[in-house]
Amino acid sequence: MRYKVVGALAASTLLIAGLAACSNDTGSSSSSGGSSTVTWALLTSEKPAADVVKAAYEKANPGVTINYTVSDVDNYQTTTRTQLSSGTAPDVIYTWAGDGNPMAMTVVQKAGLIVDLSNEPFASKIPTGIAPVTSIDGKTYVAPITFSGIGAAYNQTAMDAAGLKAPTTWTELMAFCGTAKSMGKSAFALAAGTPWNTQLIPYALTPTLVYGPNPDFAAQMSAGKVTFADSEWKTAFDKYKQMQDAGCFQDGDLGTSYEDALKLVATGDAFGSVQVNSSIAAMQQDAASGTQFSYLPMPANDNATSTRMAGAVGASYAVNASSKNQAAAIKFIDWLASDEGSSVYATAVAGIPAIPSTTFKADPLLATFIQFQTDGKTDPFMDQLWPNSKVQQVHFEVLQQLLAGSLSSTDALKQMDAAYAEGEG
Amino acid sequence: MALDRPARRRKGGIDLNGRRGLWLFLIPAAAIYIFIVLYPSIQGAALSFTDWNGLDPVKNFIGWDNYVKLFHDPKALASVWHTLVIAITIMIVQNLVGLLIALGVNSKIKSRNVLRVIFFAPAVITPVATGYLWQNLLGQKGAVNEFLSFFGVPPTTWLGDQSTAIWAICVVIIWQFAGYSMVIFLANLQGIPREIIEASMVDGAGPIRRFWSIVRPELAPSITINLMLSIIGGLKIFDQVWVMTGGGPGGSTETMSTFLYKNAFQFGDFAYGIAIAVVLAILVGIISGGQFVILGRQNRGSK
Repeated sequence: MRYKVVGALAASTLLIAGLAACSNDTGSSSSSGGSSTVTWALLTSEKPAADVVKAAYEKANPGVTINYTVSDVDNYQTTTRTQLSSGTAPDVIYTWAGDGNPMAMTVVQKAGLIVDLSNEPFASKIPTGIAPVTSIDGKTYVAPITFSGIGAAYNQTAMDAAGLKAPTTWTELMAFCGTAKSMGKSAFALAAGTPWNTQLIPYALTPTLVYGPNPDFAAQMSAGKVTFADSEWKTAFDKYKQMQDAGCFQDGDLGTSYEDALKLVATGDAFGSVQVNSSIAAMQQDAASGTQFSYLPMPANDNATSTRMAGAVGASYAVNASSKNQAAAIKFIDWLASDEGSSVYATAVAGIPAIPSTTFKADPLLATFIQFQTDGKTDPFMDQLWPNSKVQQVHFEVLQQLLAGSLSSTDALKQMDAAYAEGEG
Repeated sequence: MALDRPARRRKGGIDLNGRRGLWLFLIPAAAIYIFIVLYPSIQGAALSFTDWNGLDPVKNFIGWDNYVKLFHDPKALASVWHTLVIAITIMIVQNLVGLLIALGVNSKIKSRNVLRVIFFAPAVITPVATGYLWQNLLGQKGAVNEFLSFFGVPPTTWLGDQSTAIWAICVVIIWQFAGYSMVIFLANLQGIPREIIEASMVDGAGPIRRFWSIVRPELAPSITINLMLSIIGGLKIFDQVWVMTGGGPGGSTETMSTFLYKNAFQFGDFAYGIAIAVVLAILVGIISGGQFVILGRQNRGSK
């Protein structure tokens, strides 16, 4: 009996020693640079890019393995924050550009959790329009990979059949709503039952109404010189309500989910919907084959040439400051942001590269949007320059109340001002 | 009797039969419980007195500030109110429905076994899945509106209207868990001796009288457990609300659980989220404890 115990103890000691030796082995080989593994965390929405990028990078860099994990936004934010604070996060992490989100660059940089990437080759190529959301005090912390926009996605086949043209001014837009309604259809499908979808129309209107006429609006707001309630944001909210009152949206807009809204456009029951460009791929899946779509800016006034679009960094990545594999991680992120890498990535997710790439061939559907990006007629998504994530959540909530008719536009904007005034959090 | 009963107390041994000896058996389980549940919970609760954002290595002690903020935050108070409305509605309606179904399938009607399975089936589905299912059924063009249109009822956006959303959520939860209450009632009903029922029939008691005077007192234990389970479930409700409305429209279905989740994980105000969780835990403790005492007294009275 006693011998058995001793034997078992000896065996387990040997086993533990052996395991320790094994782990030492892998540790030394990865630091030698011969073969290494880079861990990469990204969102479910970026999954189409993950496999393609992994294959392309591993082929170009023999001996390097990319291990990626994907998770949905809510999960991603909780898990990655926990991993970062305990030092166990992956080497390359999806990090939202700017601020206004628990996993945004400013938030994690302030806690000292991501690496300064200013000396990397891509840093100097970042377009000035998105520099404010990829750097802090002149230092670059995230590599922007894709660029997304918010505009009106139309079912062009249904529009052509009905003899309709996409509106380019506010007056045309109102007339468009009326015509659609008289045909028993809706001009725009609105998914106000899905909180984040409520913000898309204000995001599509404010570049023309607020941020174009006053490019310093975000800076002035952060200095406390302007507020939501005393700005053209009120016009944007009023126009949103005006659209609802004019019957631009389908009945029961507040109970419609994002998926249902896309289906309404895909089937032609609604002519369009204000969406992020990546949603067009989902609409195409729901639509009959051969259905054509178009993606155009939303008019916000009667001067068509002043129309702007919201365009911002979509996917962007940072390197974990406590990564034990930093050199390999930075090499990978450099490739992601390169001409070749961003082109592979953007093609896979049907988007466009954040740093213009010469090897990239865009879907003709996005031609207008790309033209706006090139002409500098885009403004970042507003939340990327808000000081905390609460402003955006309040935005969703007050918009639902505004659409339900239980809150005035001024009171709604005052609530957003109050959340903004809470400052960094 | 050939079997010898073990000696009640062995000389020098521990008295495993006496009351004191039984506590020994509790030690392993209690140690694990303290280590895995109690200690981290207390440690977590302590964070509610800091300004931790869930990320920074630095946390500052700020005393009762989070609790003061909570009691001055109209959104927090509204979430407490919504939570109570949902919990109480569920507690009453779910148990009434469950009891009626249990009485129904406890009778001798044909295919009662099939019916039992059908009524219990929703309870085994993940709440998130039922949430998505009902989100579709309750949509503008969903099955519910289609069905109601046969009776000339105009379509309603059940989940999109601030006045109906909370009730729609209650209906979904009751639909899902009435079968669960049914099973507990049913188990209890089947334990009631036939003889008592038959005796009451001989004495000329009608169905209502029989239920009230014979069955109801016998059901006291299952009523207690069902009320407890449903009120606790109602107070911590999260999944269905999160999936169907996300607390909307306009915060009209925000419960304490969704509110604390938003604060902790979406607003990065971890400490405030924990403060809400502590208040929720205390609320659950008070309500279920109070209920337990009152119903326990009733149980003894009914026997």
